[in-house]
Amino acid sequence: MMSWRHSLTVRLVSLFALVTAALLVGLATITLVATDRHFLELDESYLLDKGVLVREIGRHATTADELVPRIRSTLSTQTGLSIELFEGKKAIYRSPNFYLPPEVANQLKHDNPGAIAQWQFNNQQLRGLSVLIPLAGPQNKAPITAVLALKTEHHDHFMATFRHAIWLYVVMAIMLGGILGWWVTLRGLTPLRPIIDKARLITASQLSDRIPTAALPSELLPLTETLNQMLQRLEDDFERLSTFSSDLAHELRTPISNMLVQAQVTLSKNRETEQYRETLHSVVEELERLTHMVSDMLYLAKTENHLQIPCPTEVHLGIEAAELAEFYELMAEDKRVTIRVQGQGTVIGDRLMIRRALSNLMANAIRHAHDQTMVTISVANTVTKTTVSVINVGDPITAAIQSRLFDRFFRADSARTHPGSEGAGLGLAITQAIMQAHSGAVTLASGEGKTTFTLAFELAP
Amino acid sequence: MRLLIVEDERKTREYLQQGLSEAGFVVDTAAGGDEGLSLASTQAYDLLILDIMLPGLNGFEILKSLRDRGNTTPVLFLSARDLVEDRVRGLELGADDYLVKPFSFSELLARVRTLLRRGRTIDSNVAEVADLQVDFFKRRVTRGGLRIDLTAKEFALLELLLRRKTEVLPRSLIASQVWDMNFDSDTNVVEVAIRRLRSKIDDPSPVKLIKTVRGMGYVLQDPNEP
Repeated sequence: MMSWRHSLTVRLVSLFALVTAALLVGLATITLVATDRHFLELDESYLLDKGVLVREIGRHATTADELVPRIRSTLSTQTGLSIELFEGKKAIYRSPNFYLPPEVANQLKHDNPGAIAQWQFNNQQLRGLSVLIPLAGPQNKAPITAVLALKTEHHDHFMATFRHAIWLYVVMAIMLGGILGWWVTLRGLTPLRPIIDKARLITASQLSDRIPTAALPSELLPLTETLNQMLQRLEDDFERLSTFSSDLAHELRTPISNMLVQAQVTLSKNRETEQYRETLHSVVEELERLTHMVSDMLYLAKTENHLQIPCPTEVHLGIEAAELAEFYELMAEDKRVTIRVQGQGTVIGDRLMIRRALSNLMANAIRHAHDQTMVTISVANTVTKTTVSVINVGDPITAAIQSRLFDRFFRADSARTHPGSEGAGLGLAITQAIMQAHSGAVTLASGEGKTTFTLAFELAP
Repeated sequence: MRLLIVEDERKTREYLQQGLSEAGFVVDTAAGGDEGLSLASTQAYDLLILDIMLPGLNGFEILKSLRDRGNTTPVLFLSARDLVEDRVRGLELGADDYLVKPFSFSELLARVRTLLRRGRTIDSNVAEVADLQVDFFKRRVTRGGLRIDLTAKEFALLELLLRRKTEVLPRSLIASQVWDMNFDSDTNVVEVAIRRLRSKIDDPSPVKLIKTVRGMGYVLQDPNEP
């Protein structure tokens, strides 16, 4: 099961719902506030309008007694509008069902004439204002004021319904957004299914399978291609390992079979002492080969798996090459080959490992050099690396052989025309592993009668 | 010279005992760690050959126990595991040498003799075998009174063979001592070197001093001496 924290679907759905909610809540709030304000303005202008009317009526009346019937008859046609008239502090007229709380009345008459006030009466919302009425008659009496009030219940009712509808819509839209997000996510992630299905089927025996990329959207292409490249590398390594195992079995089989047959034939009848000795010598030779091979293989495995920990010191390549040349001189003289060492250079590395890497190259160079030629070991420095090249004059190595030369147990000379002088075919593999352990490389160039192997050490930045 | 071999693998133990006895040593054996420790701490030995993986106490524990008691008998470890940590640990505990299986018998014998000789003999400046005379200090070689010229490496090879005369020296030991080649080199360089040395030392004389022991190595000895 997908864990909550890592589920892409949950994340996308939540994001969808969140974005929808933010947008809709914002929109709903703006709408409600705007509507409310619009109603307030509507009421205000209505009340101000009526105030002007009341003042107009007052201007044509001379006394309060004359004013009251006029106002009553005019305002009775206005639904929802009520009025209370005061002469000084005394109420002289009041519409039926009208109640003005005294504190509101005071506020309207004295503190804030002409301003809009709101209050509640009988569960009704009222909004009102006060107007000073100038009478046409003598001015010696107390001033007459009118308080106009408008019932706003129909607005409130509308607003309540509207608010309710809006919020209901918002909640439903958020839920719908979530569901939509879920559906879109599922749809959007469907191209991942074939990758999952394919990956589930790949095992060691089916490493050649690849995830099909033809129908994939472009966003998934890099991921899938990376996975396929990983599969390719795994396949290559796995194949190399399989080849190695079968090569190994083959390499062990030959000497074991030699010894077994020889020992059994020797034992099959009574023989001279000399013949027993001969058999034992031969067995020892085979066993020495096996021992050598096993220790080379262990060395290779340890180097490749970084169990052989390089012990870094300053290694003078020129000096090492000269010492090795001294060792190989005898073998070279046998073939009438001369060895020349030129150049100097130092690298940081494991002296014994580097000696071994170089020694393998030199042994090969002498072994494959033409008679009466020169093997050159040349140390060179560039800005980024120090190299040591081993050059011999000999038959060129074909490209097909070059590509396999560094494989374990590979022998260019498969018929083994030099038995005994040749090792188990691990020399170059060991050289390569040693160079990799030193973050360097061994390269090969062959042509025009010359073969050059080069060990390249990167200089520390 | 008395040796103790502690090794649980029967064949190895018996063949080592036979080989070392025939090489002139008195050899005791033990098959387990506890038996080995009790023998090593009650008897006087000149050298202990210990396997690392043993039933009971392992080789490291035997060595530690002995060294803790102040016993300084030289110890040579045998192991089927070639791990750097094992090597380091053995040497830290005070082992004198470490040999990885499979090893050749001549290699073991050469190392045993090196350990037993250590600190006992003073290398002399001159050596004489039959009519061969060598002055290591002056680097002069004569055979039957005739001066022989050797290259530096030929002289080093002859010196090694002479200082360890009558011992069979494996090729790997020769390569390591003379040329500092501490790994198998897949080549016949040592053979070639011996052949050349022979041509200078032995060819002029009917008495051949340098002998090839097939499957083992090379030895320098006077054939007329027992």
